[in-house]
Amino acid sequence: MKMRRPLFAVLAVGLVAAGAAAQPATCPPPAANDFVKVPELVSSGGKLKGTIIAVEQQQCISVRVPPTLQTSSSAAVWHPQIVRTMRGVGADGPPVPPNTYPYPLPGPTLRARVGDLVEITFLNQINPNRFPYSIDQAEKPGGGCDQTSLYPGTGKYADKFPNCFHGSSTVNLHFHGTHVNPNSTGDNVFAEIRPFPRATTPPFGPVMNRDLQNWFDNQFFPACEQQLTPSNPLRQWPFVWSDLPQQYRDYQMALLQAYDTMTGLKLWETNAGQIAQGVWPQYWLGAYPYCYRIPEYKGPGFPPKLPENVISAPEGMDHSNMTLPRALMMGQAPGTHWYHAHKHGSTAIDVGNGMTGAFIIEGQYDDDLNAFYGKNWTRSQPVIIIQQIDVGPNLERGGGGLDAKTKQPLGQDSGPSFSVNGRLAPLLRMAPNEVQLWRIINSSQRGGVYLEGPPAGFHWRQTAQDGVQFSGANYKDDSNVDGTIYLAAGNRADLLVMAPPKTTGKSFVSFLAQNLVDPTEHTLLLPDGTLRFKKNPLLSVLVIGTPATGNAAKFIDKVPSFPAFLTDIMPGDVQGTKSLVFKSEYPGNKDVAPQTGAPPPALHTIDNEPFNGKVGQTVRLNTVEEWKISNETYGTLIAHPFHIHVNPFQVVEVFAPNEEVKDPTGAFVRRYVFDRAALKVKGQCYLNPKDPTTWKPCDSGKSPRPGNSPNYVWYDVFPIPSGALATDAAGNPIIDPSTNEQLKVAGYFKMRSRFVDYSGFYVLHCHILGHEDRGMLEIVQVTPLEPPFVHH
Amino acid sequence: MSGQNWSIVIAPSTTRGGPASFTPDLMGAVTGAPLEAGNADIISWNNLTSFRHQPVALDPDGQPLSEADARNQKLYLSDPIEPNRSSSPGFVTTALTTGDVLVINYRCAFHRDEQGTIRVFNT
Repeated sequence: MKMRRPLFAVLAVGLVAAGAAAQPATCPPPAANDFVKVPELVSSGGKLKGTIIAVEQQQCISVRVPPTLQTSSSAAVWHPQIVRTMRGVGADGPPVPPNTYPYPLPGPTLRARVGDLVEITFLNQINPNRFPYSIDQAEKPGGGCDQTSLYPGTGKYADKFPNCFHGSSTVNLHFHGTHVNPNSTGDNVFAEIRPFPRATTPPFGPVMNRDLQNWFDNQFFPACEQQLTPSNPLRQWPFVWSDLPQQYRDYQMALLQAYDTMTGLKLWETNAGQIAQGVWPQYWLGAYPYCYRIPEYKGPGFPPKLPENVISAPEGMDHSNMTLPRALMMGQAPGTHWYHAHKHGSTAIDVGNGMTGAFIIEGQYDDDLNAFYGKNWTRSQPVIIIQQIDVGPNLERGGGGLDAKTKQPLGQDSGPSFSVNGRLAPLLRMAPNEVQLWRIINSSQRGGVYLEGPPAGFHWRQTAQDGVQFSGANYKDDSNVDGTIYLAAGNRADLLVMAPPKTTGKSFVSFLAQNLVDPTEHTLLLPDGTLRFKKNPLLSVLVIGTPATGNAAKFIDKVPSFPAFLTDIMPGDVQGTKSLVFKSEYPGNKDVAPQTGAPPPALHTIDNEPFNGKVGQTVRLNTVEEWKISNETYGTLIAHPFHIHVNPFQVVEVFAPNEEVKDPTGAFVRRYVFDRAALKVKGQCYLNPKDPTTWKPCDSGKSPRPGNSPNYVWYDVFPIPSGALATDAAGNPIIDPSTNEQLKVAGYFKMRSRFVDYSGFYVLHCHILGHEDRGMLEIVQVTPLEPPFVHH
Repeated sequence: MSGQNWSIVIAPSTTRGGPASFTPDLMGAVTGAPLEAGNADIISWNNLTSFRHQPVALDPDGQPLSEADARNQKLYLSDPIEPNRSSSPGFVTTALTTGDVLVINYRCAFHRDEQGTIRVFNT
């Protein structure tokens, strides 16, 4: 069936009108602050099909004044700013009155079901010329970091390519939380899609071939549907360049060759070399078709019984053998996932600009909730997308240090304020007693959202973490009743939230959150005794209307059926181990950056090395491993959010040496002490500074979430506890005799994961995206089981 | 306002052979209007013409600063900008500590009739 969707959905750009009355460079805050439902692209007939366009747009962006820590007196000032954003064709946001700037809005919410085929046409219509030279120069000799008068700096503390901010007009999509093919047109974060070329005459729009959508709709996607059948969920297709439509290949080659002529780069030459090796090419221009199957595990039981005709066919080696059926080891967990731009060097800028969106994958989880709360109930529930909207990293304008003359911070401490679906503290409505399912996605570039608990009168229960539901035992555990929720950048949580029994009249109730990059700092005080990281409204709720009754006013008693493939990974299952160290090192206060006089920026590494383009970790397909992830960041507390693609993991042990416990007066004291004289409160533990074997959690083996082992919780992002500097009971540093410096004790967590189903290359990284862009990134290779040889 | 990014459009003249104009990329901006910015803002220029341009800050006498003087005074605005490209490096503003408005008058290094103004507020 021929389909011709409007391809030229170019959003209006700010046009200069000669002679028009001058407009001030400000814009008003939203007149109404109701919670905005982000438009959705919903699957139909087993297919999630749509077009997402990356485009720049001039929006009303709020800035916190003063820019330092957010306080109750912080003001939000709104300015028109050009940012990169994502829009869905046919998923329009709120109407924008003429001669006004729109407000930020996340990308369209994608909604599909386990087993569906995803077919997304992704277009890059960003005009790089509306930003300081953002065309990717990465492939030139010496690379190409963004250049401002203060960045990337000079001397030993300058950011060095490839670990610098660069090429923010080049984008791609990462489908965070999905267990899908990481290669070719799947969740492939190595694909780099540059913008379409621009016309050189007004209105200077993108130049696109009008037949492009037809090539995708009438050739590529139908072929994808034939290849990626539900009965063979592990088939990886397309596999090689020649699997794409001839016309699209010719178009890409012509575009890239013209681009190379204009820029002096050699993108097509690189592609040609990769194609000749049978490798999926890396560079694309303008348009890219995402097509992959969301795997549905049919069991029964776990592990799956392998069919007789399944053989260990070579993966990644012989394309023809990819047609043989294979056993799916793990399906996709239905839940709250998300997507965002993920090109190394521009993830922080692009995500900060707002290039994120929700990806709700439905399944038995939804069916069971709907059976209790009502038909299609889960689709009516709020999807809460938290962002930190920003125009660019502080480092590009002098960094987060102090202005040399004014001694005022150059940037926003802790980053911009949290927004929810593009608005500041928007207003949600609930009926008295009503239970809603809040799917909360922290798609911030940096900040962690710390929710101490629900406001008075409200109650909540968490039902899922990072798109993977809780087991029944975890759901029912006492600590899950109105518990504290910490969402590091990248984390998600599903909460059943119950409103109080009475209306709030015309008043609304604020749900307060702290912006923390280390959850242990939630109690940190300023000299005046107030919290350093204030609790600020994340969103507000108005309780109004007729009270809910029946199931609509209850927490579900029996949790949704727990997927068989999410059984706990036990110690006996582990086939290999690894140890990784994340570290942010600060040059020290005695050093100053030549350009600003402020302290130089930190260096971010994994295993003492910034990203070097090589494979960092290798795992054999279909093995289970246990990894210890340590954090050797000291002084400035940063719980780097560890994230790995494709396969979720269970957290089985956590050692947070900066953790606190309450004393009888309710004050917080350090849980772990290095001097027995500091042991004063039940729950404190002694760590022998001379015996590193004691540097482990008091309750070693217990999961950090409700429930004892088993019932470990699944994550795909976990904040690695910061390291601690050892002191005695009087607060004096304990010196490590081997270094003659204060003793340092790293924080860590241990995780177990099943590296199953998909071989190939993907990544792990810190999800504070400025750290990722600047070096805290590694390539993971999952190797195929069989070589391409036949042995006699 | 601080920590914002601004784009100035270098647009071709509406008269044949006439000078290009510098206009803030803002809805309804008047041709040639000054750009108002804050401290630590990043400013770039978007060259929509078929010619190379280069904004250069002027001294109090209206003469272009040398590159060395411009860099010393933190007023180096941009390298030459090729047709249909944007400027580099991004110009980071530094407001006056006295609270006065810093007015940066500039012109194109290659086309002396092309002039523009940036006002930097200390906010």
